[in-house]
Amino acid sequence: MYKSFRIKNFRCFVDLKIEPLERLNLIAGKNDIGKTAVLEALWLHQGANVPDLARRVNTFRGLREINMDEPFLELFTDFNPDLVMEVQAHGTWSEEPRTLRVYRQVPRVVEIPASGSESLEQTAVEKSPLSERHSRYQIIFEYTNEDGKVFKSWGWPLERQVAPSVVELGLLSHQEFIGERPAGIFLAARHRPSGKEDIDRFSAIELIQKQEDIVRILKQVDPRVQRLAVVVISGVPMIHADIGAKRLVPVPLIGDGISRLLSVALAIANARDGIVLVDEIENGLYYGVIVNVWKAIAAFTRQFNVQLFATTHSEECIRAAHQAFVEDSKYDFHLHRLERMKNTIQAVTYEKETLGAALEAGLEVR
Amino acid sequence: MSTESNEVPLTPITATKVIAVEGKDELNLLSALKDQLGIDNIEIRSLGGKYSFSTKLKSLVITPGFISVRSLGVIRDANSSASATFQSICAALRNVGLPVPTKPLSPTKVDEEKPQVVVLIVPHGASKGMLEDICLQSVGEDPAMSCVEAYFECIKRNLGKLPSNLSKARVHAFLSSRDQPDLRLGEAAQAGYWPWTHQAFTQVKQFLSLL
Repeated sequence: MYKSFRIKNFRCFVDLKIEPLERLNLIAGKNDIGKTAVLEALWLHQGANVPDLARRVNTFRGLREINMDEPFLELFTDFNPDLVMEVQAHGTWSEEPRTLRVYRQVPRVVEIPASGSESLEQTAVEKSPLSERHSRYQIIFEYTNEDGKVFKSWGWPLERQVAPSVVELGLLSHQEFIGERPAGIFLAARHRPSGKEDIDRFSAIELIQKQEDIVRILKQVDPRVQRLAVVVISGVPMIHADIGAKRLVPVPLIGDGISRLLSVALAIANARDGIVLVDEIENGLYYGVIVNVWKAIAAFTRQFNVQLFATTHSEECIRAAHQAFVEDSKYDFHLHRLERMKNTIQAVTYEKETLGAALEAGLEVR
Repeated sequence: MSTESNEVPLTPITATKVIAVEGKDELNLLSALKDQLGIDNIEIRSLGGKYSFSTKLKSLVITPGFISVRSLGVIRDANSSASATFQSICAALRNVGLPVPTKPLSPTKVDEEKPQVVVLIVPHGASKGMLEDICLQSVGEDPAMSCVEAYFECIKRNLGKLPSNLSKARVHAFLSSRDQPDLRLGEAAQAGYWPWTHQAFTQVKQFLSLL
Protein backbone atom coordinates (compact mmCIF):
# COMPACT_ATOMS: atom_id res chain seq x y z
CA MET A 1 0.00 0.00 0.00
CA TYR A 2 1.22 3.48 -0.81
CA LYS A 3 1.99 5.64 2.24
CA SER A 4 3.06 8.75 0.36
CA PHE A 5 4.16 9.87 -3.05
CA ARG A 6 5.88 12.79 -4.71
CA ILE A 7 5.35 13.87 -8.30
CA LYS A 8 7.83 16.09 -10.13
CA ASN A 9 7.64 17.67 -13.57
CA PHE A 10 4.46 15.90 -14.61
CA ARG A 11 1.61 17.72 -16.37
CA CYS A 12 0.82 20.77 -14.19
CA PHE A 13 2.96 19.70 -11.24
CA VAL A 14 6.41 21.05 -10.49
CA ASP A 15 6.79 19.24 -7.19
CA LEU A 16 3.74 17.81 -5.47
CA LYS A 17 3.83 15.66 -2.36
CA ILE A 18 0.81 13.92 -0.90
CA GLU A 19 1.00 12.30 2.51
CA PRO A 20 -0.11 10.51 4.54
CA LEU A 21 -2.21 8.22 2.42
CA GLU A 22 -4.95 5.91 3.60
CA ARG A 23 -6.66 2.91 2.10
CA LEU A 24 -9.26 5.23 0.56
CA ASN A 25 -8.18 8.62 -0.69
CA LEU A 26 -10.43 11.27 -2.18
CA ILE A 27 -8.75 13.99 -4.19
CA ALA A 28 -10.56 17.31 -4.46
CA GLY A 29 -9.74 20.74 -5.82
CA LYS A 30 -10.83 23.34 -8.32
CA ASN A 31 -11.07 22.69 -12.03
CA ASP A 32 -7.77 22.32 -13.87
CA ILE A 33 -5.77 21.87 -10.67
CA GLY A 34 -4.50 18.39 -11.59
CA LYS A 35 -6.78 15.92 -9.83
CA THR A 36 -6.80 13.55 -12.78
CA ALA A 37 -3.07 14.02 -13.24
CA VAL A 38 -2.49 12.65 -9.74
CA LEU A 39 -4.31 9.46 -10.72
CA GLU A 40 -2.32 9.29 -13.95
CA ALA A 41 0.98 9.65 -12.14
CA LEU A 42 0.07 6.86 -9.74
CA TRP A 43 -1.01 4.67 -12.61
CA LEU A 44 2.31 5.21 -14.39
CA HIS A 45 4.14 4.39 -11.17
CA GLN A 46 2.17 1.21 -10.66
CA GLY A 47 2.89 0.17 -14.25
CA ALA A 48 6.48 1.32 -14.11
CA ASN A 49 7.63 -0.96 -16.93
CA VAL A 50 4.75 -0.31 -19.32
CA PRO A 51 5.64 2.66 -21.53
CA ASP A 52 2.36 2.27 -23.36
CA LEU A 53 0.68 3.81 -20.31
CA ALA A 54 2.21 7.12 -21.40
CA ARG A 55 0.12 6.86 -24.55
CA ARG A 56 -2.97 5.62 -22.74
CA VAL A 57 -3.12 8.45 -20.20
CA ASN A 58 -3.24 10.80 -23.15
CA THR A 59 -5.89 8.70 -24.86
CA PHE A 60 -8.10 8.97 -21.78
CA ARG A 61 -7.76 12.73 -22.15
CA GLY A 62 -8.94 12.58 -25.73
CA LEU A 63 -5.44 12.96 -27.21
CA ARG A 64 -5.66 9.99 -29.50
CA GLU A 65 -2.76 10.66 -31.83
CA ILE A 66 0.91 10.53 -30.99
CA ASN A 67 2.82 13.51 -32.32
CA MET A 68 5.60 11.74 -34.19
CA ASP A 69 7.83 14.81 -34.27
CA GLU A 70 7.45 15.76 -30.60
CA PRO A 71 5.92 12.77 -28.83
CA PHE A 72 4.70 12.88 -25.22
CA LEU A 73 5.37 16.58 -24.65
CA GLU A 74 2.08 16.69 -22.75
CA LEU A 75 3.55 14.60 -19.96
CA PHE A 76 6.10 17.20 -18.92
CA THR A 77 5.52 20.40 -17.01
CA ASP A 78 5.28 23.38 -19.38
CA PHE A 79 5.64 20.89 -22.27
CA ASN A 80 9.35 20.96 -21.61
CA PRO A 81 10.87 17.76 -22.99
CA ASP A 82 14.18 18.43 -21.26
CA LEU A 83 12.59 17.73 -17.89
CA VAL A 84 12.54 14.35 -16.23
CA MET A 85 9.20 13.38 -14.82
CA GLU A 86 9.49 11.55 -11.53
CA VAL A 87 7.12 9.73 -9.24
CA GLN A 88 8.67 8.58 -5.99
CA ALA A 89 6.55 6.59 -3.60
CA HIS A 90 6.94 5.19 -0.12
CA GLY A 91 4.79 2.31 0.92
CA THR A 92 4.33 -0.67 3.13
CA TRP A 93 6.74 -2.68 0.96
CA SER A 94 9.89 -1.27 2.60
CA GLU A 95 11.41 1.81 4.19
CA GLU A 96 12.98 2.61 0.84
CA PRO A 97 11.06 4.27 -2.00
CA ARG A 98 10.14 3.01 -5.43
CA THR A 99 10.89 5.61 -8.06
CA LEU A 100 9.79 5.96 -11.66
CA ARG A 101 11.59 8.45 -13.88
CA VAL A 102 10.18 9.14 -17.31
CA TYR A 103 12.05 11.04 -19.98
CA ARG A 104 12.55 11.33 -23.71
CA GLN A 105 15.69 10.13 -25.35
CA VAL A 106 17.11 9.92 -28.83
CA PRO A 107 18.12 6.26 -29.21
CA ARG A 108 21.85 5.92 -29.50
CA VAL A 109 21.63 2.72 -31.49
CA VAL A 110 18.61 2.04 -33.61
CA GLU A 111 17.45 -1.42 -32.67
CA ILE A 112 14.62 -2.95 -34.61
CA PRO A 113 13.57 -5.77 -32.33
CA ALA A 114 13.05 -9.24 -33.71
CA SER A 115 9.44 -10.07 -34.39
CA GLY A 116 7.77 -12.19 -31.71
CA SER A 117 10.16 -11.34 -28.92
CA GLU A 118 8.38 -11.81 -25.62
CA SER A 119 9.74 -8.59 -24.23
CA LEU A 120 8.17 -6.54 -26.94
CA GLU A 121 4.69 -5.24 -27.26
CA GLN A 122 3.48 -3.53 -30.34
CA THR A 123 0.28 -1.58 -30.23
CA ALA A 124 0.13 -0.86 -33.93
CA VAL A 125 -1.86 -3.30 -35.98
CA GLU A 126 0.24 -6.14 -37.29
CA LYS A 127 0.06 -5.81 -41.05
CA SER A 128 2.68 -5.62 -43.69
CA PRO A 129 3.12 -1.88 -43.99
CA LEU A 130 3.64 0.00 -47.21
CA SER A 131 6.04 2.15 -45.27
CA GLU A 132 6.91 2.89 -41.67
CA ARG A 133 8.94 5.37 -39.70
CA HIS A 134 9.97 5.76 -36.08
CA SER A 135 9.87 8.93 -34.10
CA ARG A 136 13.21 10.49 -33.36
CA TYR A 137 12.49 10.02 -29.67
CA GLN A 138 11.87 7.13 -27.37
CA ILE A 139 10.02 7.48 -24.10
CA ILE A 140 12.04 5.88 -21.31
CA PHE A 141 10.53 4.41 -18.14
CA GLU A 142 13.41 4.13 -15.69
CA TYR A 143 12.28 2.36 -12.56
CA THR A 144 14.31 2.04 -9.38
CA ASN A 145 12.95 -0.49 -6.93
CA GLU A 146 13.28 -0.44 -3.16
CA ASP A 147 16.57 -2.35 -3.36
CA GLY A 148 18.08 0.32 -5.59
CA LYS A 149 17.99 -1.85 -8.69
CA VAL A 150 17.31 0.06 -11.91
CA PHE A 151 15.14 -1.23 -14.78
CA LYS A 152 14.75 0.56 -18.11
CA SER A 153 11.79 0.04 -20.37
CA TRP A 154 11.12 2.05 -23.48
CA GLY A 155 8.46 2.92 -25.98
CA TRP A 156 9.09 4.09 -29.50
CA PRO A 157 6.36 5.77 -31.52
CA LEU A 158 5.89 4.07 -34.85
CA GLU A 159 3.92 5.30 -37.86
CA ARG A 160 2.87 2.78 -40.44
CA GLN A 161 1.14 3.32 -43.72
CA VAL A 162 -0.87 0.12 -44.12
CA ALA A 163 -2.89 1.24 -47.14
CA PRO A 164 -2.56 4.15 -49.56
CA SER A 165 -4.78 6.33 -47.40
CA VAL A 166 -4.50 4.57 -44.03
CA VAL A 167 -1.81 5.52 -41.51
CA GLU A 168 -1.67 3.84 -38.13
CA LEU A 169 0.20 5.05 -35.09
CA GLY A 170 1.44 2.79 -32.38
CA LEU A 171 4.11 2.31 -29.80
CA LEU A 172 6.79 -0.27 -30.18
CA SER A 173 7.80 -1.05 -26.65
CA HIS A 174 10.20 -3.01 -24.57
CA GLN A 175 9.13 -3.97 -21.08
CA GLU A 176 11.82 -4.88 -18.62
CA PHE A 177 10.64 -7.41 -16.05
CA ILE A 178 10.49 -5.65 -12.69
CA GLY A 179 8.97 -8.45 -10.64
CA GLU A 180 5.42 -9.35 -9.85
CA ARG A 181 3.35 -6.22 -9.43
CA PRO A 182 -0.24 -6.09 -8.22
CA ALA A 183 -2.79 -4.60 -10.58
CA GLY A 184 -3.42 -0.93 -11.07
CA ILE A 185 -6.79 -0.21 -12.68
CA PHE A 186 -7.73 3.24 -13.94
CA LEU A 187 -11.37 4.18 -14.48
CA ALA A 188 -11.32 7.45 -16.37
CA ALA A 189 -14.17 9.93 -16.17
CA ARG A 190 -14.58 10.40 -19.91
CA HIS A 191 -13.40 7.05 -21.09
CA ARG A 192 -15.85 4.58 -19.57
CA PRO A 193 -14.48 1.04 -19.33
CA SER A 194 -15.51 -0.82 -22.38
CA GLY A 195 -18.02 -3.61 -22.10
CA LYS A 196 -15.16 -5.97 -22.83
CA GLU A 197 -13.05 -4.77 -19.88
CA ASP A 198 -15.98 -5.12 -17.51
CA ILE A 199 -16.84 -8.52 -18.97
CA ASP A 200 -13.27 -9.75 -18.57
CA ARG A 201 -13.25 -8.59 -14.97
CA PHE A 202 -16.69 -10.02 -14.30
CA SER A 203 -15.63 -13.37 -15.79
CA ALA A 204 -12.63 -13.44 -13.47
CA ILE A 205 -14.96 -12.93 -10.51
CA GLU A 206 -17.37 -15.58 -11.75
CA LEU A 207 -14.52 -18.07 -11.95
CA ILE A 208 -13.87 -17.73 -8.24
CA GLN A 209 -17.61 -17.62 -7.50
CA LYS A 210 -17.61 -14.19 -5.94
CA GLN A 211 -20.50 -12.72 -7.89
CA GLU A 212 -22.53 -12.28 -4.73
CA ASP A 213 -19.94 -9.76 -3.48
CA ILE A 214 -20.50 -7.61 -6.56
CA VAL A 215 -24.28 -7.95 -6.31
CA ARG A 216 -24.15 -6.88 -2.66
CA ILE A 217 -22.54 -3.58 -3.65
CA LEU A 218 -24.94 -2.99 -6.53
CA LYS A 219 -27.89 -3.45 -4.18
CA GLN A 220 -26.81 -0.24 -2.43
CA VAL A 221 -27.88 1.60 -5.58
CA ASP A 222 -30.65 -0.69 -6.77
CA PRO A 223 -31.99 -3.25 -4.28
CA ARG A 224 -33.77 -5.07 -7.13
CA VAL A 225 -30.50 -6.53 -8.44
CA GLN A 226 -30.46 -10.28 -7.71
CA ARG A 227 -27.95 -11.73 -10.11
CA LEU A 228 -25.60 -10.81 -12.94
CA ALA A 229 -24.92 -12.71 -16.14
CA VAL A 230 -23.03 -12.20 -19.37
CA VAL A 231 -25.49 -12.48 -22.23
CA VAL A 232 -24.40 -12.58 -25.88
CA ILE A 233 -26.81 -10.93 -28.27
CA SER A 234 -25.96 -10.83 -31.98
CA GLY A 235 -22.45 -11.88 -31.09
CA VAL A 236 -21.96 -9.01 -28.65
CA PRO A 237 -21.51 -9.97 -24.99
CA MET A 238 -22.86 -7.66 -22.36
CA ILE A 239 -23.39 -7.84 -18.59
CA HIS A 240 -27.05 -8.13 -17.73
CA ALA A 241 -28.81 -8.06 -14.38
CA ASP A 242 -31.79 -9.89 -12.97
CA ILE A 243 -33.88 -7.14 -11.37
CA GLY A 244 -37.04 -9.20 -11.00
CA ALA A 245 -38.34 -8.41 -14.47
CA LYS A 246 -39.46 -11.05 -16.97
CA ARG A 247 -36.08 -10.90 -18.67
CA LEU A 248 -32.55 -9.88 -17.82
CA VAL A 249 -31.72 -6.22 -18.42
CA PRO A 250 -28.41 -4.83 -19.75
CA VAL A 251 -26.77 -3.04 -16.81
CA PRO A 252 -26.22 0.24 -18.72
CA LEU A 253 -29.96 0.36 -19.35
CA ILE A 254 -30.69 0.26 -15.61
CA GLY A 255 -28.80 3.48 -15.05
CA ASP A 256 -25.53 5.41 -15.07
CA GLY A 257 -25.03 5.05 -11.31
CA ILE A 258 -25.25 1.28 -11.21
CA SER A 259 -23.18 0.99 -14.35
CA ARG A 260 -20.45 3.13 -12.84
CA LEU A 261 -20.58 1.27 -9.53
CA LEU A 262 -20.36 -2.06 -11.33
CA SER A 263 -17.17 -0.90 -13.03
CA VAL A 264 -15.72 0.27 -9.70
CA ALA A 265 -16.65 -2.96 -7.91
CA LEU A 266 -15.25 -5.13 -10.70
CA ALA A 267 -12.05 -3.09 -10.71
CA ILE A 268 -11.59 -3.53 -6.95
CA ALA A 269 -12.30 -7.25 -7.11
CA ASN A 270 -9.71 -7.63 -9.88
CA ALA A 271 -6.99 -5.56 -8.28
CA ARG A 272 -6.21 -7.66 -5.21
CA ASP A 273 -3.28 -6.09 -3.28
CA GLY A 274 -3.15 -3.33 -5.88
CA ILE A 275 -4.66 0.06 -6.55
CA VAL A 276 -7.81 1.34 -8.23
CA LEU A 277 -7.96 4.86 -9.58
CA VAL A 278 -11.38 6.36 -10.24
CA ASP A 279 -11.83 9.75 -11.87
CA GLU A 280 -14.99 11.56 -10.70
CA ILE A 281 -16.28 8.72 -8.58
CA GLU A 282 -19.61 10.40 -7.86
CA ASN A 283 -20.67 10.32 -11.53
CA GLY A 284 -24.20 9.04 -11.85
CA LEU A 285 -24.73 8.30 -8.17
CA TYR A 286 -27.89 9.64 -6.52
CA TYR A 287 -26.98 11.60 -3.38
CA GLY A 288 -29.32 9.54 -1.23
CA VAL A 289 -27.29 6.36 -1.70
CA ILE A 290 -23.74 7.67 -1.51
CA VAL A 291 -23.17 6.93 2.20
CA ASN A 292 -24.10 3.30 1.74
CA VAL A 293 -22.06 3.08 -1.45
CA TRP A 294 -19.02 4.35 0.46
CA LYS A 295 -19.59 1.79 3.20
CA ALA A 296 -19.82 -0.98 0.63
CA ILE A 297 -16.71 0.23 -1.20
CA ALA A 298 -14.81 0.44 2.09
CA ALA A 299 -15.68 -3.13 2.97
CA PHE A 300 -14.82 -4.28 -0.53
CA THR A 301 -11.40 -2.62 -0.63
CA ARG A 302 -10.54 -4.21 2.71
CA GLN A 303 -11.72 -7.62 1.49
CA PHE A 304 -9.43 -7.46 -1.55
CA ASN A 305 -6.69 -5.41 0.12
CA VAL A 306 -7.04 -2.69 -2.49
CA GLN A 307 -6.04 0.95 -2.10
CA LEU A 308 -8.42 3.34 -3.81
CA PHE A 309 -7.75 6.83 -5.12
CA ALA A 310 -10.68 8.80 -6.48
CA THR A 311 -11.31 12.36 -7.54
CA THR A 312 -14.44 14.33 -6.84
CA HIS A 313 -15.98 17.77 -7.20
CA SER A 314 -18.91 16.93 -5.02
CA GLU A 315 -19.55 18.27 -1.51
CA GLU A 316 -22.18 15.56 -1.07
CA CYS A 317 -19.67 12.88 -1.98
CA ILE A 318 -17.14 14.18 0.57
CA ARG A 319 -19.73 14.56 3.33
CA ALA A 320 -21.04 11.08 2.56
CA ALA A 321 -17.58 9.53 2.67
CA HIS A 322 -16.85 11.20 6.02
CA GLN A 323 -20.17 10.05 7.45
CA ALA A 324 -19.71 6.51 6.13
CA PHE A 325 -16.26 6.14 7.67
CA VAL A 326 -17.27 7.75 10.97
CA GLU A 327 -20.04 5.17 11.23
CA ASP A 328 -17.70 2.38 10.15
CA SER A 329 -15.46 0.40 12.46
CA LYS A 330 -12.37 1.99 10.95
CA TYR A 331 -11.75 5.46 9.53
CA ASP A 332 -9.23 4.46 6.84
CA PHE A 333 -10.03 7.47 4.68
CA HIS A 334 -8.33 10.79 3.89
CA LEU A 335 -9.32 13.76 1.80
CA HIS A 336 -6.55 15.51 -0.13
CA ARG A 337 -7.20 18.91 -1.70
CA LEU A 338 -4.97 20.27 -4.41
CA GLU A 339 -4.45 24.00 -4.16
CA ARG A 340 -2.44 26.55 -6.07
CA MET A 341 -0.01 28.31 -3.72
CA LYS A 342 2.49 30.82 -5.05
CA ASN A 343 2.38 29.45 -8.60
CA THR A 344 2.83 25.84 -7.60
CA ILE A 345 0.25 23.22 -6.79
CA GLN A 346 0.38 21.71 -3.35
CA ALA A 347 -1.75 19.24 -1.44
CA VAL A 348 -3.57 19.73 1.84
CA THR A 349 -4.64 16.58 3.64
CA TYR A 350 -7.66 16.27 5.92
CA GLU A 351 -7.80 13.41 8.37
CA LYS A 352 -10.86 12.47 10.43
CA GLU A 353 -10.84 15.30 12.95
CA THR A 354 -9.95 18.20 10.66
CA LEU A 355 -12.43 17.08 8.02
CA GLY A 356 -15.17 16.62 10.59
CA ALA A 357 -14.51 20.05 12.09
CA ALA A 358 -14.43 21.70 8.65
CA LEU A 359 -17.67 20.10 7.50
CA GLU A 360 -19.37 21.01 10.76
CA ALA A 361 -18.26 24.65 10.55
CA GLY A 362 -19.02 25.07 6.85
CA LEU A 363 -15.36 25.54 5.93
CA GLU A 364 -14.77 24.72 2.28
CA VAL A 365 -12.64 21.63 1.78
CA ARG A 366 -12.72 21.30 -2.01
CA MET B 1 -26.91 10.26 2.22
CA SER B 2 -29.07 11.52 5.01
CA THR B 3 -28.82 15.24 4.61
CA GLU B 4 -28.97 16.87 8.01
CA SER B 5 -30.96 20.05 8.06
CA ASN B 6 -28.33 21.82 10.18
CA GLU B 7 -25.53 21.27 7.66
CA VAL B 8 -23.72 24.51 6.98
CA PRO B 9 -22.91 24.96 3.27
CA LEU B 10 -19.18 24.85 2.61
CA THR B 11 -17.70 28.21 1.67
CA PRO B 12 -14.11 29.34 1.16
CA ILE B 13 -12.53 32.29 2.94
CA THR B 14 -12.78 35.41 0.82
CA ALA B 15 -11.63 38.25 3.10
CA THR B 16 -8.15 39.16 4.25
CA LYS B 17 -9.37 39.75 7.80
CA VAL B 18 -11.02 36.86 9.62
CA ILE B 19 -12.46 36.44 13.09
CA ALA B 20 -12.92 32.98 14.56
CA VAL B 21 -15.78 32.79 17.03
CA GLU B 22 -17.28 30.00 19.09
CA GLY B 23 -20.86 29.93 17.93
CA LYS B 24 -23.76 31.53 16.17
CA ASP B 25 -24.52 34.03 18.97
CA GLU B 26 -20.98 35.42 18.81
CA LEU B 27 -21.13 35.48 15.03
CA ASN B 28 -24.42 37.38 14.96
CA LEU B 29 -23.36 39.83 17.66
CA LEU B 30 -20.02 40.66 16.06
CA SER B 31 -21.64 40.90 12.63
CA ALA B 32 -24.18 43.38 13.97
CA LEU B 33 -21.49 45.41 15.72
CA LYS B 34 -19.21 45.58 12.70
CA ASP B 35 -22.18 46.63 10.55
CA GLN B 36 -22.95 49.32 13.09
CA LEU B 37 -19.35 50.51 12.85
CA GLY B 38 -19.39 50.42 9.05
CA ILE B 39 -16.71 47.74 8.81
CA ASP B 40 -17.24 45.54 5.80
CA ASN B 41 -13.93 43.81 5.11
CA ILE B 42 -13.96 41.32 7.99
CA GLU B 43 -15.21 37.77 7.60
CA ILE B 44 -16.51 36.07 10.75
CA ARG B 45 -16.43 32.28 10.89
CA SER B 46 -18.21 30.29 13.56
CA LEU B 47 -16.13 27.36 14.75
CA GLY B 48 -18.63 26.01 17.21
CA GLY B 49 -19.37 22.33 17.61
CA LYS B 50 -18.05 19.18 19.15
CA TYR B 51 -14.40 19.39 18.07
CA SER B 52 -11.63 20.96 20.12
CA PHE B 53 -10.64 24.55 19.35
CA SER B 54 -7.23 23.31 18.27
CA THR B 55 -8.76 20.98 15.68
CA LYS B 56 -11.13 23.66 14.45
CA LEU B 57 -8.29 26.14 14.10
CA LYS B 58 -6.33 23.58 12.09
CA SER B 59 -9.31 23.16 9.78
CA LEU B 60 -9.62 26.93 9.43
CA VAL B 61 -6.00 27.51 8.40
CA ILE B 62 -6.19 24.89 5.65
CA THR B 63 -9.43 26.28 4.24
CA PRO B 64 -9.15 27.57 0.66
CA GLY B 65 -8.49 31.29 0.79
CA PHE B 66 -6.84 31.35 4.22
CA ILE B 67 -3.49 31.83 2.52
CA SER B 68 -4.58 35.40 1.71
CA VAL B 69 -5.62 36.23 5.27
CA ARG B 70 -3.46 39.01 6.73
CA SER B 71 -5.17 39.39 10.09
CA LEU B 72 -6.82 36.78 12.28
CA GLY B 73 -8.89 37.56 15.34
CA VAL B 74 -9.91 35.01 17.95
CA ILE B 75 -12.61 35.80 20.48
CA ARG B 76 -13.48 33.40 23.27
CA ASP B 77 -15.38 33.39 26.53
CA ALA B 78 -13.18 33.44 29.62
CA ASN B 79 -15.50 30.89 31.23
CA SER B 80 -14.02 29.81 34.57
CA SER B 81 -10.50 31.10 33.88
CA ALA B 82 -9.47 33.87 31.50
CA SER B 83 -5.78 32.98 31.76
CA ALA B 84 -6.37 29.27 31.11
CA THR B 85 -8.51 30.11 28.08
CA PHE B 86 -5.84 32.46 26.73
CA GLN B 87 -3.13 29.83 27.22
CA SER B 88 -5.29 27.25 25.48
CA ILE B 89 -5.72 29.55 22.47
CA CYS B 90 -1.98 30.25 22.39
CA ALA B 91 -1.26 26.51 22.38
CA ALA B 92 -3.69 26.01 19.50
CA LEU B 93 -2.11 28.89 17.53
CA ARG B 94 1.35 27.46 18.14
CA ASN B 95 0.16 24.04 17.04
CA VAL B 96 -0.83 25.30 13.59
CA GLY B 97 2.24 27.51 13.19
CA LEU B 98 0.52 30.85 13.65
CA PRO B 99 2.06 33.76 15.60
CA VAL B 100 1.25 33.75 19.32
CA PRO B 101 0.36 37.00 21.10
CA THR B 102 1.76 37.80 24.53
CA LYS B 103 -1.56 38.92 25.97
CA PRO B 104 -5.16 39.62 24.94
CA LEU B 105 -5.77 42.66 22.74
CA SER B 106 -2.10 42.76 21.86
CA PRO B 107 -1.61 42.00 18.14
CA THR B 108 1.37 39.97 17.05
CA LYS B 109 3.97 41.63 14.85
CA VAL B 110 3.23 42.03 11.17
CA ASP B 111 4.81 39.21 9.22
CA GLU B 112 4.79 38.92 5.43
CA GLU B 113 4.42 35.16 5.56
CA LYS B 114 1.84 34.78 8.32
CA PRO B 115 -1.23 36.70 9.43
CA GLN B 116 -1.18 39.00 12.40
CA VAL B 117 -3.12 37.48 15.30
CA VAL B 118 -5.26 39.28 17.90
CA VAL B 119 -7.02 37.51 20.77
CA LEU B 120 -9.85 38.84 22.91
CA ILE B 121 -11.02 37.02 26.01
CA VAL B 122 -14.41 38.28 27.16
CA PRO B 123 -15.14 39.99 29.42
CA HIS B 124 -11.77 41.70 28.90
CA GLY B 125 -9.85 42.16 32.14
CA ALA B 126 -12.07 39.84 34.18
CA SER B 127 -10.80 36.53 35.51
CA LYS B 128 -13.91 34.70 34.39
CA GLY B 129 -17.18 35.25 32.57
CA MET B 130 -18.63 35.25 29.10
CA LEU B 131 -20.05 37.37 26.31
CA GLU B 132 -23.42 37.41 28.06
CA ASP B 133 -21.84 39.38 30.94
CA ILE B 134 -20.85 42.18 28.56
CA CYS B 135 -24.36 42.36 27.16
CA LEU B 136 -25.87 42.39 30.64
CA GLN B 137 -23.48 45.13 31.67
CA SER B 138 -24.57 47.21 28.69
CA VAL B 139 -28.22 47.09 29.77
CA GLY B 140 -27.53 47.48 33.50
CA GLU B 141 -29.44 50.77 33.57
CA ASP B 142 -32.38 49.44 31.61
CA PRO B 143 -35.57 49.54 33.74
CA ALA B 144 -36.27 45.90 32.88
CA MET B 145 -33.12 44.79 34.69
CA SER B 146 -34.60 45.47 38.13
CA CYS B 147 -37.43 43.11 37.15
CA VAL B 148 -34.84 40.53 36.04
CA GLU B 149 -33.05 40.76 39.39
CA ALA B 150 -36.34 40.49 41.26
CA TYR B 151 -37.28 37.46 39.17
CA PHE B 152 -34.13 35.57 40.09
CA GLU B 153 -34.46 36.53 43.76
CA CYS B 154 -37.92 35.01 43.63
CA ILE B 155 -36.60 31.88 41.89
CA LYS B 156 -33.91 31.46 44.52
CA ARG B 157 -36.38 31.94 47.30
CA ASN B 158 -39.00 29.55 45.95
CA LEU B 159 -36.75 26.89 44.33
CA GLY B 160 -33.84 27.13 46.70
CA LYS B 161 -31.33 27.42 43.88
CA LEU B 162 -30.44 29.41 40.79
CA PRO B 163 -29.75 28.22 37.22
CA SER B 164 -26.21 26.87 36.85
CA ASN B 165 -25.40 29.44 34.15
CA LEU B 166 -26.91 32.55 35.67
CA SER B 167 -25.52 34.91 33.01
CA LYS B 168 -27.30 33.04 30.20
CA ALA B 169 -30.47 32.86 32.28
CA ARG B 170 -30.40 36.59 32.99
CA VAL B 171 -29.91 37.37 29.29
CA HIS B 172 -32.91 35.21 28.43
CA ALA B 173 -34.99 36.87 31.12
CA PHE B 174 -33.99 40.33 29.95
CA LEU B 175 -34.67 39.55 26.29
CA SER B 176 -38.10 38.18 27.15
CA SER B 177 -39.00 41.74 28.11
CA ARG B 178 -38.48 43.05 24.57
CA ASP B 179 -40.99 43.44 21.72
CA GLN B 180 -39.67 40.24 20.19
CA PRO B 181 -39.40 38.13 23.34
CA ASP B 182 -37.92 34.96 21.88
CA LEU B 183 -34.59 36.12 20.45
CA ARG B 184 -31.22 34.67 21.28
CA LEU B 185 -28.29 36.88 22.25
CA GLY B 186 -26.95 37.19 18.71
CA GLU B 187 -30.36 37.72 17.18
CA ALA B 188 -31.01 40.40 19.76
CA ALA B 189 -27.85 42.14 18.55
CA GLN B 190 -29.19 42.06 15.01
CA ALA B 191 -32.48 43.50 16.31
CA GLY B 192 -30.64 46.38 17.99
CA TYR B 193 -31.38 45.41 21.60
CA TRP B 194 -27.82 45.90 22.86
CA PRO B 195 -26.68 49.55 23.14
CA TRP B 196 -23.40 49.58 21.17
CA THR B 197 -22.43 52.98 22.56
CA HIS B 198 -22.15 51.59 26.09
CA GLN B 199 -18.62 51.28 27.43
CA ALA B 200 -19.17 47.53 27.96
CA PHE B 201 -18.46 47.11 24.25
CA THR B 202 -15.32 49.27 24.19
CA GLN B 203 -12.87 46.35 24.13
CA VAL B 204 -14.87 44.47 21.49
CA LYS B 205 -14.74 47.57 19.28
CA GLN B 206 -11.03 47.89 19.99
CA PHE B 207 -10.60 44.25 19.00
CA LEU B 208 -12.31 44.92 15.66
CA SER B 209 -10.19 47.98 15.05
CA LEU B 210 -6.95 46.09 15.71
CA LEU B 211 -7.55 43.63 12.87
